[in-house]
Amino acid sequence: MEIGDRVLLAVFAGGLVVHFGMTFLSMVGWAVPGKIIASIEKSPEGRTAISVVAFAFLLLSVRFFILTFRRKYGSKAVAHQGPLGEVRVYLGAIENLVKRVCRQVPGVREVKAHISNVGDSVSVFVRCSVSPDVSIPDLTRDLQKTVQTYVKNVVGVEVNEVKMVVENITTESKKSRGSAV
Amino acid sequence: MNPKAEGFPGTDRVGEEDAGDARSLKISDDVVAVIAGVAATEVEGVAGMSGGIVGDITEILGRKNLSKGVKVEVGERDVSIDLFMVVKYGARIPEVARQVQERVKEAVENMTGLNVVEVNIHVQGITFSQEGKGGD
Repeated sequence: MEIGDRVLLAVFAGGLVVHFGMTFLSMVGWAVPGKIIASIEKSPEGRTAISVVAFAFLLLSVRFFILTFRRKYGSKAVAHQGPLGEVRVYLGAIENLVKRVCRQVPGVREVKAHISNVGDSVSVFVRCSVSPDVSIPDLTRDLQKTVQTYVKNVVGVEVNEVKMVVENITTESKKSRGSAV
Repeated sequence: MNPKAEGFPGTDRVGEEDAGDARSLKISDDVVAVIAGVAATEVEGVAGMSGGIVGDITEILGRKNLSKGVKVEVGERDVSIDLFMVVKYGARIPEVARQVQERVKEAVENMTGLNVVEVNIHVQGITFSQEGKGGD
């Protein structure tokens, strides 16, 4: 999810908390929310303001509904022309592939990958967390070689470069986070 | 007709055109899409077709959509096909794509008599499990 959508989601969730909180308190006997709503409804400006807010929340609801069906992969792809037509492999698919391949290398705990295409080839940027019991230079060298070979063989595109950042040294995988060294 | 044709739903939508030449035959885009979609999913390494929001909602509603992830442009005699698909982890994408192109071209040409000028493949995701079809 993009940062803008995260902000919208936070606003949306906050609005729902206020709305249902007030509804709950009204239902259990607190009269103040009901009085506030009644006073707002009496003035045309108040009704307009409530309508605008309700419409904005309706738009946000539709936006999040559509987001639940949206594909994770973007629109960028690396393409090559064959005799029977074009073959396009979306960068999101390559990204998932790289993450999977990296996770299979012993010593790698968590992986984030970003792929960018330069013409018919791709550049791979990997950020990872590793175990404390591995040699980081050896591991990163192995990872670079593995990623380059795998992407070349499986996707059929040249890999310009594989940049690596070791972000953390941890004993735990993502599912049981907490003990970073 | 190719014996495979009996298994394809939607082939009954092929009909003769009333206007113009009485012998001319107009084949619906949907028919070509179904033929291409079924042929593509038969190739080893293809996990499934990727159909976007409408295709997903259709499947949630319980309708099997055989033309999901297939876009066709049918001309007088020529047809151009775009296939949006998800590939199984471990499969070599260029090899799978080449097989899909060949299989789809053969199936559409045999069953409709149209000339397939191009079969464009869009690999939108890779699935890592036997049952999953949406990538990681």
